[in-house]
Order: sequence, then C-alpha cells, then structure tokens
Amino acid sequence: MKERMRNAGGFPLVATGALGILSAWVSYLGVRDYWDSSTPNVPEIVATNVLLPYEEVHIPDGPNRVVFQTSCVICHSPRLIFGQPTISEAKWLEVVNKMVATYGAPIEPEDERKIVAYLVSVQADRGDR
Amino acid sequence: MNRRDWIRATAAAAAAGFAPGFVGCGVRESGSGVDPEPTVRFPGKVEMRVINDRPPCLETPWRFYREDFTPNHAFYVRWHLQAFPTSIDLASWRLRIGGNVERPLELSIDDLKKMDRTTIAAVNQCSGNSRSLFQPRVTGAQWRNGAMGNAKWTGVRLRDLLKRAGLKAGAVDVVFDGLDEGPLPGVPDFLKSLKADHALEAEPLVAFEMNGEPLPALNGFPARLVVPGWYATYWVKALTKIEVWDKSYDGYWMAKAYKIPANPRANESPDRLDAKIEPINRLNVRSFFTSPDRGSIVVSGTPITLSGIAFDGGSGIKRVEVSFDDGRTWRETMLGEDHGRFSFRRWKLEWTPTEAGERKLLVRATNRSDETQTADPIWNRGGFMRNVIESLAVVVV
Ligand code: HEC
Repeated sequence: MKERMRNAGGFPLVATGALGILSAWVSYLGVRDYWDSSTPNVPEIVATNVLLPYEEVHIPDGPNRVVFQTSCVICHSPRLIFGQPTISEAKWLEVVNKMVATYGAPIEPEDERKIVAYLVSVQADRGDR
Repeated sequence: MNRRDWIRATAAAAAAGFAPGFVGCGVRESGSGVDPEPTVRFPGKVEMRVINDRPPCLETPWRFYREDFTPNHAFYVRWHLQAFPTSIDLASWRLRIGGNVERPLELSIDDLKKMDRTTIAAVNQCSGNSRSLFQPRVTGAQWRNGAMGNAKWTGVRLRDLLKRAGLKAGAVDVVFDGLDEGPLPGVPDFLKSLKADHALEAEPLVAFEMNGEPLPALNGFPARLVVPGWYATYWVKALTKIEVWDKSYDGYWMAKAYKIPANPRANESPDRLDAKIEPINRLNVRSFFTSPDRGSIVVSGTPITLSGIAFDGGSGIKRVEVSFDDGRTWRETMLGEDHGRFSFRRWKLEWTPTEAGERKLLVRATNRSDETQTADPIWNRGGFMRNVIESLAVVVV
C-alpha cells in the first residue's frame, strides 16, 4: 500500500488514507455478522408479515341475531364471546355495559337489551359449559 | 386408535363419570351438542387451541411441557387488541426511550444488538392461565392450563437502556407501549408500567431472541419486555416506546384491569368482593404433571416414571412432592437440571403401582421462601393466579 502511494506520486497522502479506511469500512459492513462472535448463527430476519388464518365462527340463530352481528364483531372475534361460560342475564348486561362504557362500543342503549336477550337465548340453547 | 381418537375417548369417559378425578388441561366436551373450540395452525405455530382468533389467543398443547423449554412454535399467544402488528419492517422499526430522561433515544434493532446482551431462562405465564377452571366461573379468555411457557430470553438489560438515556431525578414509573392499538378510538391502548426501582433491577430485559431465535411474530417480534418472575401482562410485545414518568402512571390497563385482591393469596369471596385491590405482580408457586397422560393405564407391579414441572416467581423451587393418598402423606421427588430461579424446574419420581383401580395422584411444590400450594383453590373476580394442588388420575390394571 505504501509502495503504491509513493508510486502514485502527487496523489495526496491524506486522500489515499481516507480511501483506505473507507474501503476497509465498507468491507467490514459486509462481513461484520461473521466477525461478531457475540452473534451466533441467528437467522437474520429483517421484516415479518404474517397472514392470519380465518376459521369461520358459527353465529347461532336467535332473537336479535342481526343486532348482535352488527354490534359485537367489530373489535374482536365473536369466538371470544361464544367461548364464555354460562352466566346470568345480569352478568351479560354487565359485559355489554363494559363494552360500551369502557371500550366505547358504538351501541344504542335500546340495542344493549336486545343483545343481552340474544346472548341469553343462545347460551340456553347450547347447554351448560 | 390415533392420539386424537384416544383423547376423545378419554374425554368421553371422563364426561360419563368414569374418571371423576380428572382436572387440569384437557378437552372440555360436554356431549350436549356443543362444538368444541377448534385447533388451528397459525403462521409459525403448531396446531393450537383457539381462544380468540381476532386478535389471536392460542393455547399451548400440553405435550410440549415435557420439554424444559417450550418450543417457539408451540409457545402460547395472547394479544389484547385487534389492531396488532402483522407486518413489521425492521428498517423503520425503532425503540424510543423518552419522558423524564436526560437524552431521549431512538434505537434501531442494530443499535440494540450492539449493546451488552444477556440471556435468562424465565417462565412467561398469563395472569389468567387456568381461568376456565375457576368455580364459580369468571368471564375473560377461557384458558385451561396452557397459557404459560418457559424460554431462554436474550436481549439488553432494561436498566442499561435507562442508564443510557439517563433517568432524571424523581422517576416514579416506567411505561411500556407496543405496536398494538385499539380497533376503535374508544379502546384504551395497551400500555403497562413498572415502578422505576423495579425497572432498574438486574432482571428485566428488552429481548429480541427467544430460545436462540428471533421472536416469532405472534410472540412480539422484533422485541418485547421480559419481566422474570412477573405475570406476562407486563411483558409488552412488539415494544416500541419506553417512557419515564415522574408520577404514577394511571392508564386503563394498569389502573382498572389486571387488579387482584390485596391479600397474600389474592383470594376473595364472590359474594363479597374485597375493597382493597392492587395490580397483579409476582407469580405464585405452581406444579403440574406432564407424564404420564391423564387417564393412562398403568400396570400393577411395573415401575413407571412420573414427571412434571414446577415454577414460582423467582425464589426458586425447593421441593416437589407427590401424594398417593389424597394428601395425607407426601413423597419427595427428584429435581432436574436447574436453569435458574425463574425457569421451569423438572421433577421426576419413580412409582410402582400396586392396588388395581383408579388412582388419583397429587403434586405440590414449595419454593425457597417456603411458599407452597394448597388443596383449596383461590377465587377472585379476574380469574387470576390459580395455583391449586393439581391432580392426575390413572387407572392401575
Ligand atoms: C369497541 C370495541 C369492542 C366492541 C364493539 C365489543 N367489544 Fe368485547 N371486548 C373489547 C375489548 C378491548 C376486550 C378485552 C380484550 C382482551 O382483554 O383481550 C373485550 C372483551 C370481551 C369479552 C371477554 C370478557 C372481558 O370482559 O374481557 C367478552 C365476553 C366480550 N368482549 C363481549 C362482547 C360483546 C357481547 C359485544 C357486543 C355487545 C362486544 N364484546 C363488543 C372490545 C369490544
């Protein structure tokens, strides 16, 4: 390297040095993953993009089913709802109230009662669990 | 008969009253025409029981607890908010550290990986693990026992990050936010906080690897908070912001949700809820059977090895015992390799069954602070922290 620098005659020493450092840096960038012993053979992932499967949830027939369908499937899957244990009408009213008061579910007060009637009816049909 | 038929047959037998002692994880088919919950394969995961598919909440199949470390592809999944990140580009992902600090930081994943890293084995257990076994029943995600897992977490100590940003005097809480968001504006964003003193302890990490691999997308890629010994609600996934507060943080998911009765067992009566409540915090002691399977047929006079796991909130497991006489006497088991005080600890016991018939075995663990498990289950309104003595029914022939 020094030889070539001299031979280059007139080529400013500083610029050559800078070039050398730059090219060393560039090649380091290319191999640093292999140099860095603290990085074992971990596959390098630069992005993720997962496509979620969708398992159709059966929405059983019952009074006010349409009201339920338009009110209770926006924020989460109805599976979370049908997976709940058997609870009283008062408890269901509490749940629906929580969705409105705590999570801001856009549901009219008169629809709350209709949804509770639906949930109680569907629950009675399926038996205890 | 394949495994699934077998499980079905066992479940049917249990439902028919053949084995009334069956508890714990298992198929809850009542035979009354109820569709059982489906099991579905999500990206990067084995077929898992779906508690909720939007956002995903998936339960680890029980057989995976036969390994000390729960494989990433079987590790349970629990998201709260539907707008959860399915697509993350590391080129633009940043971890921002701000609030009451000297030097707000904005770190890329490479910046994180250049810092000193550490690895810790720790159990990640959902606060509501086993909620479906509460009596009376409690609403919420209806987990059986599969909302837990043990992994080796690798990342940067939270305190190193906080020191790099320089905490100003008067720091009270440190608040964590992930990329998940509420589906509608009224849904409070999922933020959690730790007391500043806790955040500065040695254990909490910002982890980017789980069992030596990048975090799976469903478990919080590219980085998540790891709070060894504490319930998983604090282990914020797809972490993107850390904010230091000079007063108490009072967001919904800290102030209103994940509250337990403020007494040593987090126990209260359904008829009279405790007035004094506090945020859920450390794991209590638990132990489980992982082998043989529930309902197994074992042969009198032939020795078999019983085994399982035990864990607690970080004192470490001192002793695991099994009872063959409904808790009157207990036999101490052999403890397996110690992966650290926050990890699953394997236990094993050789047993030669003698009398034919159905036998119910019990298991209980005791930690190094002499906390143990009892036969009477706790109850609380959130369905949190179940840690009753577990049982296993087998049939001796
Ligand atoms: C504005 C959004 C939104 C709407 C609309 C909504 N929910 Fe929810 N719901 C939530 C959130 C957020 C949770 C908590 C999720 C979690 O913790 O994983 C939840 C949880 C639940 C749970 C689990 C128990 C609990 O209290 O956490 C039930 C049951 C439930 N919702 C029922 C319903 C019913 C019935 C409706 C229709 C009346 C409904 N939801 C509509 C946001 C909503």
